[in-house]
Amino acid sequence: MSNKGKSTPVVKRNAAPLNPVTKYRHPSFYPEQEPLTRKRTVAITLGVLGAAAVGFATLGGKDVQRNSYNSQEDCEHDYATGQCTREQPVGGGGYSGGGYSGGYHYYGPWYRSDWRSGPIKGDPGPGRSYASGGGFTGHGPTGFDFGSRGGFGSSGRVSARGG
Amino acid sequence: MRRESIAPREGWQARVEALGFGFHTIDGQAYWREDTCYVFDEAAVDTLEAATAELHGLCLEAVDRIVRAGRYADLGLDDRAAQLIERSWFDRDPALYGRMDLSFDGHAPPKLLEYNADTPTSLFEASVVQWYWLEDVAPEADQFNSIHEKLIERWRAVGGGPRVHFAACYDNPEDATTCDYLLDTCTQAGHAVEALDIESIGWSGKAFIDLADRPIDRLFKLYPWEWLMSEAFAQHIPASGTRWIEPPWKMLLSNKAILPILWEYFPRHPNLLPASLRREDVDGPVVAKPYWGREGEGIVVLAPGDQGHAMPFQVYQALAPLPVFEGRHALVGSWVIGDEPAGIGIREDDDRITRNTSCFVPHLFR
Repeated sequence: MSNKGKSTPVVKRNAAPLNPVTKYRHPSFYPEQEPLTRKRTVAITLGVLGAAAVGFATLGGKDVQRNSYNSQEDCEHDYATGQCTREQPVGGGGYSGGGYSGGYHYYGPWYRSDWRSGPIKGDPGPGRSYASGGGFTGHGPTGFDFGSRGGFGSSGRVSARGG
Repeated sequence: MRRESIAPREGWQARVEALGFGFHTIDGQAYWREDTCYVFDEAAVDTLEAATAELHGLCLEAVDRIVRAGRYADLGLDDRAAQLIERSWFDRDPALYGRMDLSFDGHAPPKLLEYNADTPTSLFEASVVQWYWLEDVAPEADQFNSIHEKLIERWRAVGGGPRVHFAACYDNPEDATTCDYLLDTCTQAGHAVEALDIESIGWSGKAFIDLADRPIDRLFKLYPWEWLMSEAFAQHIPASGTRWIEPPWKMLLSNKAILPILWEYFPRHPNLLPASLRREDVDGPVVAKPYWGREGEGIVVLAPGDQGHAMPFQVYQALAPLPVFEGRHALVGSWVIGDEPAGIGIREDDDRITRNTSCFVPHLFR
């Protein structure tokens, strides 16, 4: 048996197919690239793993919401420039206190619905007008879109994972 | 193929922990064992490699036939699942990885016991930990293992978009390590990544979003499809626009009901075992398996003539006993990255059924 150390990687033989029935080949699985022919890894470099650098923030509450505005100017009054987006209102699952009248709305960023329980790093909060009690008057938000979190994961709490 | 007793490396626990392998011991019992190893010759490795490629080809052909025939009910899948599967198959959504569990004694053709095609684990120990073990213990020997580089290469095709999100049950150390390892390989392929717990995924009304409220374009999820489909956010999957890794069509292969279908499509194939939805169709001892069980969950061995308890969503597969070395039943987990065989990991147990507590033992070949 020859030495098959990493300086002399093994070259896989071109084995004949065992059975001619496997004619079908899904095109996406056969990209036009040179296949790796070693049986053995040449080198493994790990980046983030082991350094505990892969974390995930926890925003706490599962429900989120965002403010809608009549104009970009109103939105940017509450949030920083760049945090506001222009979109068509969401068709389902959302509710706007001001009602949807078609066309575009301006939206602030998503934030925790339980923002009153205290600020969390990374959460943009409800915007200046709403936080200060400005409500729906003046240039404040005209309504809200409601989203949610936690719609996945319930099975994982009670069952074995992986395979 | 043989089992050899060897001296563990001094301070091996610290060595593997330095790699990020924190679950080498589970509940006081060794999960990673390096006081022994499995030794193959090159011919045996070639046999495993060829059989894995062959079986993967059979599986892809079976998926195509199932989709075109609409045989979803045969796998206990409803219309919602069927629509996702069809769309992902015809859209050619690429797969990342899978692990076939094989019964192999080093001589006879390997037999497919099941294909963990959706959420396979024991990846990090197979790809990284046993490779470093080889470097320390037997650098002159070889190992059937190019999982790491093939993952990086595969991510170049599977990744993309603004970033790839990774979701898992991060409170589970094994899942967290597996997911973070895959995230690492994705990063090395040049993609931006973001990890979050599966419970932290949000729904904005038109897209799944991460904790920064960014739309999730590509999502690697270490979370079985059948669980996703049973939960509250399942209703949003079709409209979400998210590309899933593994893609929905993997629901067909991770389901044990694929085993009778493979036997039906490719009868007497040397790498397949007789299997049926009916006990009486399979002679001799059989293994009863639930469609969606994992880690040996719900698996029962039935003696010849034993009909067992008729249960819905259960398959019966002819028993292919695992080879026993010094009282340990050895199972070969053969990895497929993209479409290529990429390496193996050995699990062993006192019992003939491999479970989540079964030990991982490194291997080499000469």
